Amino acid sequence: MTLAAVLGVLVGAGLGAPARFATDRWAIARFGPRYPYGTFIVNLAGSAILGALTGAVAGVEAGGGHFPVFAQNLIGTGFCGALTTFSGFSSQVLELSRKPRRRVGTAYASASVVAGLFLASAAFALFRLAS
Amino acid sequence: MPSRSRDYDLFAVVAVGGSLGALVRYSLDVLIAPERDGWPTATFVINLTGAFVLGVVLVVARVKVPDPKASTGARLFRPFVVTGLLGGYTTFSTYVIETHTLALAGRWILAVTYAVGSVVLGVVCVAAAMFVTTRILEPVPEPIAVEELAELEAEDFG
Repeated sequence: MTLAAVLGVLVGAGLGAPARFATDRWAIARFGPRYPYGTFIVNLAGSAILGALTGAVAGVEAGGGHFPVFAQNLIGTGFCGALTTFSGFSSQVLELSRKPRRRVGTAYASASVVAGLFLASAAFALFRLAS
Repeated sequence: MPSRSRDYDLFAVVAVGGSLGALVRYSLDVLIAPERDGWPTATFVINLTGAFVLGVVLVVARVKVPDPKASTGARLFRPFVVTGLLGGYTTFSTYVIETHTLALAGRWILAVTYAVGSVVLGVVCVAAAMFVTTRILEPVPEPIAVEELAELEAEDFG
């Protein structure tokens, strides 16, 4: 738990959380409040970015190099961690599942996880090869 | 379209809350080592506790801070606590990467259990927290007199 790591987390999260907030507001203005498009977008984006970072780190370290801890914490733990949300996601799945058509909640949860995994693994593979 | 204030104060508390929440998550990441079989204990605990606290906060907000325009505190409460603290504390991206890592390592059963288990238990945590908090915060309604009941029924069908 170095100072560099802590600073990376604070700065990254200080950018990621407002980015999520702004995306939520934009999505509500654009699509209305009924479906959580904003959270869906940021959760997928964060998964892709973290996949890319993880791939880059793996590629660099496989080549004997070292990926700066500050950058990992800034982009990963900080930015992606704060850009994405699991608590909001969970409450949204619950809310969408309350209506008579339970399927919307299940569809939202499945789509988020499957698309998140797909983007993350694609980004990981791409950036590992490139590093 | 009516002109909107820039809401800089909302963004500021989101940033501060998000940073603090992320710092707590990072601290737990450092403190909680993964299980020997690779189960991502830290993120699992973080996401589920975050979901539970969100359930509590949503009910508290509904009961104690029903009108966000009532005061500055009311206006800043949800952005700071929900969007900021809890949004920064919990993470979807790390959960996805950890599932991916387990799958890459060939630990398919663990990967599916983690992925599905987190979602299911996350929803359970929010629901359970809302249920319990509602019981604690909202008093049991008083029994109403027969005359009042008749009046209410007349209104409904009138």
